[in-house]
Amino acid sequence: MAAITEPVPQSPNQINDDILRVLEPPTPIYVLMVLFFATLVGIGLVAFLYQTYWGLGVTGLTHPVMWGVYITTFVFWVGIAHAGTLISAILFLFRAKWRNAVNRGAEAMTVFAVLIAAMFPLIHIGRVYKFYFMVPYPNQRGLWPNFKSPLVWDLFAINTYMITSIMFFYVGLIPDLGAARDRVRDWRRYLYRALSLGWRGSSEQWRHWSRTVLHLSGLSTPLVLSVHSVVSWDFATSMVPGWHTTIFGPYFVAGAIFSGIAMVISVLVPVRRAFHLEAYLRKEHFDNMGKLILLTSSIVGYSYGMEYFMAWYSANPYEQMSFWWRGFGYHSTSTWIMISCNVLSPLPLWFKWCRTNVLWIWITSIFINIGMWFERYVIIMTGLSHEYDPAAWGYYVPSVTELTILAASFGLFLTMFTVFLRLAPVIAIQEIKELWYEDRAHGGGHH
Amino acid sequence: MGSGKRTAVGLVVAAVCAVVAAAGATGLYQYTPEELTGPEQPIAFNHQIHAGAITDGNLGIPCLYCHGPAERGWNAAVPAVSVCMGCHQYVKQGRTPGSEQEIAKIHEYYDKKESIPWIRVHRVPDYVQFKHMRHVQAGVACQECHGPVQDEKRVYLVPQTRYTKRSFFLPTAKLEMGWCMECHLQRGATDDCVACHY
Amino acid sequence: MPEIDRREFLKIAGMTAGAAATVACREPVHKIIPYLNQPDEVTPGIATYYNSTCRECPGGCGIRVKTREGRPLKVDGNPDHPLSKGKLCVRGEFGHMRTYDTARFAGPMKRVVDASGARKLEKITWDEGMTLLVEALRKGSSKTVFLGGAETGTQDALIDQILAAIGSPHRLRFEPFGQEALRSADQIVFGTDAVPQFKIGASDVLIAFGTDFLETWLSPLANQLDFIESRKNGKGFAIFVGPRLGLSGSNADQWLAPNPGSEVLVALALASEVAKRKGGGPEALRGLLAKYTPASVAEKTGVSQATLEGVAARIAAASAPLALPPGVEVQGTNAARFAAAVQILNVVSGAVGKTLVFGPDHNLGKLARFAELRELVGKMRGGEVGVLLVHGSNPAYSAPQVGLSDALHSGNVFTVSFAFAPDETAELADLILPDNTPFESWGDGEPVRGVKTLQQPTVRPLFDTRPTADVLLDAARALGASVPAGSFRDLLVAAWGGRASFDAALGRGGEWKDVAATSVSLAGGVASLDFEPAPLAGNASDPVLVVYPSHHLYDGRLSRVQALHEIPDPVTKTMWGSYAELHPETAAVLDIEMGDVLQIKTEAGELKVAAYPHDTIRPGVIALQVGRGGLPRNPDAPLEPHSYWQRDVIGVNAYSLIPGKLDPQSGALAWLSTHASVSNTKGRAPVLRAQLTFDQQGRGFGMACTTGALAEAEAKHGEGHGESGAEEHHRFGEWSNPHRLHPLPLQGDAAHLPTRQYDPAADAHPDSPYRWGMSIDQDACTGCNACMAACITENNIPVVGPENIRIGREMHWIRIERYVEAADEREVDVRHTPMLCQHCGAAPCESVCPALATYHSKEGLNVMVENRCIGTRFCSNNCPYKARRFNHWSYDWYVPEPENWALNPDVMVRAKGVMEKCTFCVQRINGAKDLARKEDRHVRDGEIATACQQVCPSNAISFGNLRDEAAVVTEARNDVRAYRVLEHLYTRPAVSYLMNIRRVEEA
Repeated sequence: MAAITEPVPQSPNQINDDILRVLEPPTPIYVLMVLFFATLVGIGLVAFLYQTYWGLGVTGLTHPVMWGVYITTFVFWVGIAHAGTLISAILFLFRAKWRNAVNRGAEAMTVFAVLIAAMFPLIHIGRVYKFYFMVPYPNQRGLWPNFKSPLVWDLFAINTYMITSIMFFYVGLIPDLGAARDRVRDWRRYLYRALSLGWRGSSEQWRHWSRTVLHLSGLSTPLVLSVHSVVSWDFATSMVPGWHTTIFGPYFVAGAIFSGIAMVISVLVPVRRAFHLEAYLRKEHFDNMGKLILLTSSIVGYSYGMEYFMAWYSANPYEQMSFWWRGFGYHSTSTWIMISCNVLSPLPLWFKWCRTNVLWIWITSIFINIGMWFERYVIIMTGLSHEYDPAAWGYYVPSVTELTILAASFGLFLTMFTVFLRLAPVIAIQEIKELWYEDRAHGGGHH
Repeated sequence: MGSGKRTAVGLVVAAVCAVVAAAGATGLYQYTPEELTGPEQPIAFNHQIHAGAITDGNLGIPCLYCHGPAERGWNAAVPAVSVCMGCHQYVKQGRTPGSEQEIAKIHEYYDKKESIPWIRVHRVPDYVQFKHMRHVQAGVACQECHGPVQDEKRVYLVPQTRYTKRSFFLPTAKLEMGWCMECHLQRGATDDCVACHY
Repeated sequence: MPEIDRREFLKIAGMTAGAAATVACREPVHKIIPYLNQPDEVTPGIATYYNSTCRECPGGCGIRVKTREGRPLKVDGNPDHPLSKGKLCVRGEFGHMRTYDTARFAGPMKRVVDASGARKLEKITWDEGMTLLVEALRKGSSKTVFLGGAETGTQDALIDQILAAIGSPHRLRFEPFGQEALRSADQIVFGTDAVPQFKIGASDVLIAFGTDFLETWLSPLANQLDFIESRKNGKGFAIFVGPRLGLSGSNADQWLAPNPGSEVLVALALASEVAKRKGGGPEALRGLLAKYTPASVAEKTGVSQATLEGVAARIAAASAPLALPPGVEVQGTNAARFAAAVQILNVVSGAVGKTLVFGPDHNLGKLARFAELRELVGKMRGGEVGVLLVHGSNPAYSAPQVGLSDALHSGNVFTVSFAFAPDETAELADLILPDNTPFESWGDGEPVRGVKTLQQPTVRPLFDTRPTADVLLDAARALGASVPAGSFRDLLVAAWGGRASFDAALGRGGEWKDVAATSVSLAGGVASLDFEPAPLAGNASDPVLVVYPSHHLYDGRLSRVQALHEIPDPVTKTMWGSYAELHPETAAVLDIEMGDVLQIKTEAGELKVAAYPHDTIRPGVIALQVGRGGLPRNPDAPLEPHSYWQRDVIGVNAYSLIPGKLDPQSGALAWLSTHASVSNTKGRAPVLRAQLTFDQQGRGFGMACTTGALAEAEAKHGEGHGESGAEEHHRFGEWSNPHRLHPLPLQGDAAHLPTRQYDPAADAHPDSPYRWGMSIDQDACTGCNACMAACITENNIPVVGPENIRIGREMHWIRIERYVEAADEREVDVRHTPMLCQHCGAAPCESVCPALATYHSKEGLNVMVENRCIGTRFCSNNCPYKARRFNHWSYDWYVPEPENWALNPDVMVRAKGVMEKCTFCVQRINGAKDLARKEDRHVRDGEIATACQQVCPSNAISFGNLRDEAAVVTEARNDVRAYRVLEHLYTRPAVSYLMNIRRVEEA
């Protein structure tokens, strides 16, 4: 049992009050934040239109480095999108109770992240107005996409994942929407009324609901593993030195969960602070997430090591050269950022004090987010810039347009999240209540 | 409570309508009047009189008389003004009322040493390399792609839509790729992309 | 020449141009503009070809121009022509682009001084222009000078005739590379002022003294054809003596780099040693040669006695040795004697009469010497010149030493320029009467005695220009001078013996007959000559300034053709601009790094230019290329975003660093005459490089085998031991182990090894009659870039400009990779690997394209359907050869009128956001197949030539149907030297390469 340092909710009503307080009319600071994030999005939109009009010349992409910040960011957001499903589905099946506090936030994150991720392939391609050539649909030309291409697999993987996680998110939300509907008095009442699909909280509805959740989590559990494996095949199935390797599947999935958890922490800690949810987002939750981080961080670190080892052990000159450049080449800083952020910065979490120190783990999580973005950047950029043909080696420097759009993606994510805070309970009330009653049953002790 | 249901139903209905509308739009393309009559040409040249069947009292000139390059080159080539003059330096009075003004225009152009800026009707995109001679040599009748030009007073892209298996019976308008491919496959001609796209 | 009206022609052009523009949102109204009178020889959509003559350098190669609807689109060599033999050089390929130059003079202009005192040009009519000209000529009648370039044939004679008629026979034919030294040397040594034939093709040992015989020297194209002829399957040996390895040097087998200026002593030492080994040599020379033994010159030249004797031994042993006289880059104040020394070497080595033949001389005898130009400018200053007529020459740019511009001002000379596009000299002119471009005008010439070649227009003049010959004729008539009646063309026809024989000649492109060789003998007085190294001015501790001609821009006359700036230099692989080349050692001494802006200063002037250290240049020299830094290309070009580069002719004018010292004997300019003080300004400038390293890491792109190993392998080949004998050479121990070179095939079982030869049984489409393949002989490839030029003009490859090049976005479908394995006095092993799409049988790019925009055709082509491409660029990432190019911008938006008229209508113009790559010239393949189908047969071997193959002056490329046992390409693919690049990746390329042959003994 973790030492209980925060107040424990006294009654179910208090839980309602505490959590739904979040939905109450916004403070000016909140409005300013939303405006700021929205502005970022706006700027990003302009940048995208600019790029679409002039062509990809406005990016830093060049021969031979044809993939850059956009694909990096795509993979990054897909990774982020993993925490939600992991926490809500897998941990649900494992009955890990601590998840209840964080799963709502995580699921929301998942949905937003995957929505953003899905945009990046479109931003990335040269003729976005022809993107449908990639989609299998009956057309007068009688042409189909190339089902051998990992990019088409991606299309399916991402969309499946998006649909499932949205369903999961929404279904989980229904009872709380009901609660909110009964409490909120302003215009949102109508919204909740529509969305709660006439939730009455009858025992029958509860039974159906919990069954649905169970099945959905069963359905989405494999996705956690499949989606990022498919994404990793974008690289693993190619013959680029540094990409063409079999460990990418597990390596990427672990990385995804790693970054996902980190993002949950980075987002929830401020929320916890701002809305005084210490009673619900408890230290032992962060403690547990810290352990998950340690696990995944170790896997990722091992993969890094293994990549270098295989490059050396395979005696494949192309691999060796590629990794030499990765370690000591013109972009080696990115590599070292990646290693220090992803492998070194989580190490203190081996100490419980660090895991339960919210500020510490929050800062660590920020580092991890940075590190994981750079991981993908390093893989893509260093892989491509020094391939087989020495006469075709090249450099890549991201352009302002690319970085603007990268920033905008964060802006969009935060806009959606902050707005979501005001529209739906950030913590799953009904689940907390369950816990609360259970605790009562077991005579007061916290789980 | 009920209102929640209603709203939900409303959303669903709206979605369905949208889908149906979209699907319909693809099939029911409305031809503009210009597409049905063809553009106004600098000279009101009448294919019917020149190329129409002799039995109907027309001249029945074969297509290749004027569009000779069609069997030798890529372009069917609108005939040089000199070709028109070949006949019309003598034929100054046509059989339809007002034709003499039109014929006069030819002389005008020719005397000004200017050629006639015809408006293009049948056109494939720049990324399609269409070779007339290949098709003429293979015995494809002009009408198969150009429609019954010999009966047209003013040339226009005869609206003709095919619904082919390859295109899942979606409408394929004339001179679109699916339309070409249908014929190519029927005749066992090449289906290699690079036969036309380079 | 199709008889079409110019206006109408413009319309046709306009139509296609309009159709090419793909930016309109709504479908624009397309017009069809038919001919007014259709010319018989033209079928719309079918190309027409005309024989003509290339005028981009005095070489005078025969060309065959492809035109469509009266527009020249592509220039190729004339197969019937004895000089070009159906091939062409990188410069000739762009001849027609000067006709489509955006900034050409639209008509006659005169210089006016406006209120503010600024001199500017003002449009006038031809009548005004003619009256002005006639006025001027009347005033300055006897004080008129005609300053032209190398000119032979009817027009040359006619101009002389006209000048005589108007009573002022002063004329100068000025060429920057004027061969003065060689002519004087022949005068000294053989008593005849002629530029003889150097039969490189017949030689077995070739020694070049800084001679850029593959770049600009005499007739570079013919030289290259011969050079490769002399090196067929391992024959031949070439030695290069000079401060830097240019294109010619890179293709030699041995490099002597004596102290700059002392090359003359090397020549003599070799001569004396050869003479010694051949039993003394001619009596007359013994005394002389005795003075210059290898031992005596070794320490002066910095070349060891052993090396000199080794080379001499090789020459002495050779059956047909040949020494080439100095090129301009080593031409000092001793130029004539240096050349004489080389001719002496030819005498003693027995080359004269065998590989060095007088008789069929190059017609350069009438060229002015630099001294005469200086003299003329002196006269101008003195006001002895009234009118200066400038035609086809640009001394204001290429001879800044003589100070033309202030001479014109001080001597107030009325200057008339006949240039068709702005150049430095036209800037100074008071009256501009633009000539037609070579592609718009009639003409003929006799570059080499016996080779008379005709030049005919392939397009109606695009602008209001007139043939200069006619202008002069009219002027002369107006002056009442007695000149022959009729236009220049009438006179031309007459000169060719009337219409009938003229047309006959036109069909061939000219007429050629062999000219008997004349025997020459050693002139007296040679023995009394004394030879000294060329003195070098300036501080001896400074690097020596070496200025050399440009392979792409010649003397700068082609600097307005942007594509030539964008094709990487064959040696440095730099693009767009000037770079100061120096050896890394020297750079280290001077504390200079790649891209530092240097200030180079000589007594003549100073320049700021970026540093480019590389290995194939001698330490202690700094080298600059001429031809750049001229007028801005088009000052009025619209400043659209990303298209400002239309204005650029970037770089610096290296001529301005050459002090005006002359060689007293020959009156030639001493290019190599000074040290240059070099200071590092610490500023940085981008170095635009196509290649970041010349070290191939032992990855087997450019493979080589020694002559020994080749013989061995050929012996084994009979027993079917594929490439066993061929061995790969590496400098770099780290990567040099062959087991590391091919990691994959050496593991796993034989079944997974790539198929060495093409195996029809294994073909995925056994029913298809064709399987296209290519083979490239690297031993023949000189890296001259002609293939890149041909590819660019054939396939509408855009110019992307320096800003894009800086990030590495060049669009070339074929590139020449240059790998330096060795470059010293023991061996030169520089490998040129033309890299293009390998049309892999198992192509990595095909499987990853989501839109199926690239796929494998039944005929083995790796097809790229640009209009299906959505630009995920995965294919490019996955291409191990990096042969794919991406359209980052809509480059076609920025092609200005009338340059877009040169676009090839048989190939689509790619829009932004799509991938493109080599198609094996599928438009030509389809064309040939159409013909074959019409005649109901299969395509014959040799019927299809890809653009790169057709132009290649080394005949290095063969293309054809691998299913055809007898095809040339099949033989080449089964050759003992054949290998596929990176085939251990199991890409199964359709392109196979033949190894370099290192002409070294060890096996």
